[in-house]
Amino acid sequence: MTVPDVHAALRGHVHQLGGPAAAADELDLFGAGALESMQLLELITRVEDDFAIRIDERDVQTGRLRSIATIATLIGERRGRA
Amino acid sequence: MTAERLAYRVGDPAGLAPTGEGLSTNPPDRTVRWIDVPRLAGASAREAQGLDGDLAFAHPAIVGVDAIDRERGRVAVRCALDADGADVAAQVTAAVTASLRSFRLVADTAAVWTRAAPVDDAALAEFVAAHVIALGPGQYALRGAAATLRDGLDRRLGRLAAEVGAEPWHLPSIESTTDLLRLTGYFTSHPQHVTWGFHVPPHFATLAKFADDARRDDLAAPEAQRAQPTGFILEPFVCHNVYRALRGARFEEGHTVTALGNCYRFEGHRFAPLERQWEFSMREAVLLGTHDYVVATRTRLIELTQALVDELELDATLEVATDPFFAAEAASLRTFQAMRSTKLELRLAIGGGTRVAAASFNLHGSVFATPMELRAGEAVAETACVGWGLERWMAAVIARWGVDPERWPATLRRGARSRSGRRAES
Repeated sequence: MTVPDVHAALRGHVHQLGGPAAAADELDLFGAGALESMQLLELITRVEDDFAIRIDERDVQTGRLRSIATIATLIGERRGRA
Repeated sequence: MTAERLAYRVGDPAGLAPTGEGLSTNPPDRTVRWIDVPRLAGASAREAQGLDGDLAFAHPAIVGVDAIDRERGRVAVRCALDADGADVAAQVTAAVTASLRSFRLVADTAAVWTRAAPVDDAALAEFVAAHVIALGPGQYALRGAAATLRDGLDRRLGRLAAEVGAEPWHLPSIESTTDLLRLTGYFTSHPQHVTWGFHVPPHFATLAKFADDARRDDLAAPEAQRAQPTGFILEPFVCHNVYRALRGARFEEGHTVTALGNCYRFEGHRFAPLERQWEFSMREAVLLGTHDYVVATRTRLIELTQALVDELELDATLEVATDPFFAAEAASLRTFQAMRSTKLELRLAIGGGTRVAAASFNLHGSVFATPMELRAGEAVAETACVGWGLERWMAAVIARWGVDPERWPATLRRGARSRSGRRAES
């Protein structure tokens, strides 16, 4: 899966969870209100299932789930290690 | 060692040990049940950190949690002999599974500030035995020195809030269910704590029938079909009614309100005097305004609270924390709160190795400002609140300084009488 494919897949998940159809890569998904707090775990679950990676508490606390760009970078790092 | 031993008070007046001690034996109508929960086997301490709290809301027959065995994946609960064992097991399994899931993505708490001080392990129980009277589950009368200490702490905290220019308010202890609670999802995130109000409708024949029934059957409440919701709950926070009262307000920079309130949170079997009460006293500072104002004022209140801890020479830690969300809904909310690091808690030592959250410093973003149409300049305002739980501060002062008011810090003992009946001077 290419980087643009990852971004597109993430945008699809954000939209399916009620966010904008074409969220900007740098949009603060929760800070800007694109997604609600109750949807965070669903987003994490989808990312873990879709990209076969494990997200841990450090990723949560260090802001790596902030935007499509930061999540895509996280996916790239995890998949690169696999 | 993964089987933590837990000892809690039973939530009925007869079972409340005024000394603050846990039960050491089972009454004849209660038994201990071991329940296998496969998901618990091998769980980390971090994942399991909320279990004792969440199990308080698993089943009404449970009156205590005796052990949590993460190695074998089982818990021991104390419950009524006649409880439906299959239902107890099913509810415990569901609650444990949801609780573990909710902490999966919450990092271990690391204290951001600590202050060490000596703690007397026996003082709190002695003080409770002398000055606190249990009136029902989580309901306690404070007499003499206990009432004086509560007042002294509130006076001191009121002065602390005044240092950031807080305007004093008085607020009702009830909150309408028609707006803020629904708009912010409180009944979704914290249903386990809520105490609703009911009354008999103002219909003459209905009231007369209830009065007859109450006389004949010694009723303590109307039957469900005659009970009409009042449309309010007993207030779980002081700050909610501030946002409601200021609905539609616009702030140039910001404004801070302070009030002392009676707050109400049901806690299952976990009630204990001064430590965890159904009704408790909380002084809050409520911050409204721009992001910069709210963050800066909250930071100042944290500093002032740390200075108060120093002044009272208490044993304390300041930690990043998450709210006690209802387990079934907690996973995403708790993960979100951890991601934003929006909550800090001051935990005070009260003896016996126990620390209790005695103050919390909460950033809300626009969670309350948006539904209450609060504005800062032309933008949506932000809010924050700081809450100080008076009974827990009392417990910490007693654990630090003992039961004799003459030993308490001068600022807290105005009007208190020592055991000899002498009035302590401040």
